[in-house]
Amino acid sequence: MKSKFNISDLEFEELENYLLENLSPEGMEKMAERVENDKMLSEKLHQVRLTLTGIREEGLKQHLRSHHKTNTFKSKSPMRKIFLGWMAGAAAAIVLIVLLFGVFTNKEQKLYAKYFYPDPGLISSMGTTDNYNFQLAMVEYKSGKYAEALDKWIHLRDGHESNDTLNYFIASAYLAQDQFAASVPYFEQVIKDEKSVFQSDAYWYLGLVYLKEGQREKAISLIQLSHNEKRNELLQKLK
Amino acid sequence: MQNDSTAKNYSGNDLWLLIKSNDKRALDLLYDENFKTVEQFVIMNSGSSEEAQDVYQEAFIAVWRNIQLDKFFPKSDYSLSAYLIRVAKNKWIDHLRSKYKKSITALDEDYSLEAEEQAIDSEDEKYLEEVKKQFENLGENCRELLVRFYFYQDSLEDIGKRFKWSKATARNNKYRCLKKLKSLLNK
Repeated sequence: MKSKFNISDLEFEELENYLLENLSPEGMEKMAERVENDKMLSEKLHQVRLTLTGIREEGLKQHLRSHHKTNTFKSKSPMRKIFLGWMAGAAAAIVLIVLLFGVFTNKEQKLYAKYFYPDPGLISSMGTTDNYNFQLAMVEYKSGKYAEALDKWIHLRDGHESNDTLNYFIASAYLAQDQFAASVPYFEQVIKDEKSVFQSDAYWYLGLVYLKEGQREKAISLIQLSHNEKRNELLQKLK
Repeated sequence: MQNDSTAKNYSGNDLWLLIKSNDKRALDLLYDENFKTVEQFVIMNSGSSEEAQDVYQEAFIAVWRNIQLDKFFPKSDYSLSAYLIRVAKNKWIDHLRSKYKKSITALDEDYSLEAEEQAIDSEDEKYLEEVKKQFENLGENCRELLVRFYFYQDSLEDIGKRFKWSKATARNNKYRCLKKLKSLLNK
């Protein structure tokens, strides 16, 4: 930090909103441009960032103290063993319920359960500020936090409705949460995009959605258009 | 899909991103994953479990700060944990050096760390210390409000519920608390 600025409340708020990515996509772009071309503004932004980091650091300090008191470092404690035993029992019960459920579900649903696995997501990278939120949502998606990822991607999609990557992962996040109907329009939009690298996967997953819904013919016609490695195996079982 | 029970199930990049966004689950995982290693090191080197906790938390905050300020980028899956352990061990060695006023060789000098690390500017450090000092001079409500908003990322609505305020009052109070902190910093 070269010099300390007396930043006005309005400017502080504006810079804070930029750092928290609370501006519209256009607002973010404009501010990024301003920061790049205005050295003083860039230094002010750094000062705001340091101020917020200082506040957060105090929060982290409090959080670590209380977390340390309440967590279970003693990995061999009897409580942990009891907990793990309880977890193993609960897992066994869940497996039993799933098995019993399988007996009563129809063939399409069984095939859906066998062939559906959530898209594994993309490899995240140290992105720039522009795609930070996208990457963060991807990490959340890969961690199974589908609702959180969905929130971010839907927000990012504003003004970028034809972005095939966003449409595909929004659909995938809906599907991973068993929100079948909600995923359909997003997969359909990806399918319309002939150049999309996600088109084949969109055919596959949309086919699986119709399979789950019991619409076998529609499912077959879509799965046929995908290049999924299990396509022929599944089609064989459907015919 | 990844299991969330261990920090090692995240890639270095994933964990870095989650820590940067102050994801509490990731912070706790990283903390839990490495505490025992550091505690063992401290106890084997003339320290107690309480001292291990202090030095570990200090190291954890230093690592977190470097991530927040883009001074540390991991290059492999485990380097974030390795980095945290190295910082904690070196902090303990520094502590022993100053306590016994004698030369102790850092054990991890040849530690191979697959990461990029840059030092934080000394003026930045000074300013951050000032922010933390002045933060302590705020009222209790202000401190809680700002921590809830900026660290825990609670919504103004939730903050309002906690203090029995309306959302608008929570927003105004957040503004006032920040203004107060800024004025303390500008004195």
